[in-house]
Amino acid sequence: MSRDASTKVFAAAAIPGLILGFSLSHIGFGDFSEVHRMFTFADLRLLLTFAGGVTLTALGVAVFRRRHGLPSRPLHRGTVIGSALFGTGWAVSGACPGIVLVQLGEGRFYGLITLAGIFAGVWVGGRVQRAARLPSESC
Amino acid sequence: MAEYWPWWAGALGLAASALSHLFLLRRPLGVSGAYARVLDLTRERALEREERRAFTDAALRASLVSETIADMRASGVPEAEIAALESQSTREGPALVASKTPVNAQLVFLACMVAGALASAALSGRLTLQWMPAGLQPSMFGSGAGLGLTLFAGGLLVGLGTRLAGGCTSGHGLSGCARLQPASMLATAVFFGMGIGVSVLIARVLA
Repeated sequence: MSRDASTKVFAAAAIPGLILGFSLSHIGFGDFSEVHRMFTFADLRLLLTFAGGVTLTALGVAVFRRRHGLPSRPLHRGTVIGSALFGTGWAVSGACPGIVLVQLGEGRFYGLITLAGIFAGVWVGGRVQRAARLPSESC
Repeated sequence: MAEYWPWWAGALGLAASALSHLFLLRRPLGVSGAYARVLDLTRERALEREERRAFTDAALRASLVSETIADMRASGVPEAEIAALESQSTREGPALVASKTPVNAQLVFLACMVAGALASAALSGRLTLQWMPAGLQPSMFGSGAGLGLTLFAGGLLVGLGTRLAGGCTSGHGLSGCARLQPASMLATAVFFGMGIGVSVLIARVLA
């Protein structure tokens, strides 16, 4: 890739990264008690934030679709069991793959323990996929 | 907490990140996918080098063929022979297609998430060095080894689960649901459901 093209890709990757990290932190997703309050319905703010985010994004997706196509996401054997494991881990650690990065940015360095666990889990997941012949699609 | 964003501001922030990703990278936003690729960093980079080499080889071949054809025309070779060579080269033609986002760009994305959060915390006066959580987590899971183990085990489930499911809160939850993908809507229902169930359980048992 030419240097000009790779600069463009890096900028294209940096902008959504900065916005997402900033937003997740400003929303309070880096805070375990906020996430716990969301999951126990003690406070609807985070749920509304998420629902609102999905709705607004859907509007933008509709605009995008007029110009470009997008492949469908398959539903396969790993989808449900994986999501169940993920939800459990999120409730217990307060983190998802994005949130753990937000924690590090906020100075919550115990997130490094969670991050180590995530990398270990991603590695194990790869072995399980190969062993069980599960499809390895991803976002 | 009073200092966090109201729901509508957060919603705008999430949508801005998802849509900027979609329009700039032509790919839906999803954080978990980057982890698998970063884990396999050396292999991914090697694959990209191979791809670049093949791209260059193919491009080189294509330009050599067109130069030869131009020379043949200039020296008066019959069009029929030239046409045969031309059709052969277009059949063998390289598939110069765009590949995935380079893994180095994925690293930039992850690093910028950290940077964005750092900016947020610094601007809000929330930036403090914490080696162990305070408040709810130690009250539930104890301190020291028990808490550390909980964080690692939780992370393990997150990593394993998102790998098997092929997505996380951003990939399935935000992007997938916004795209009305049935697989993503089901995944989101399941991981939110489990998050709720397990949280209610630990609140009852541990707090």
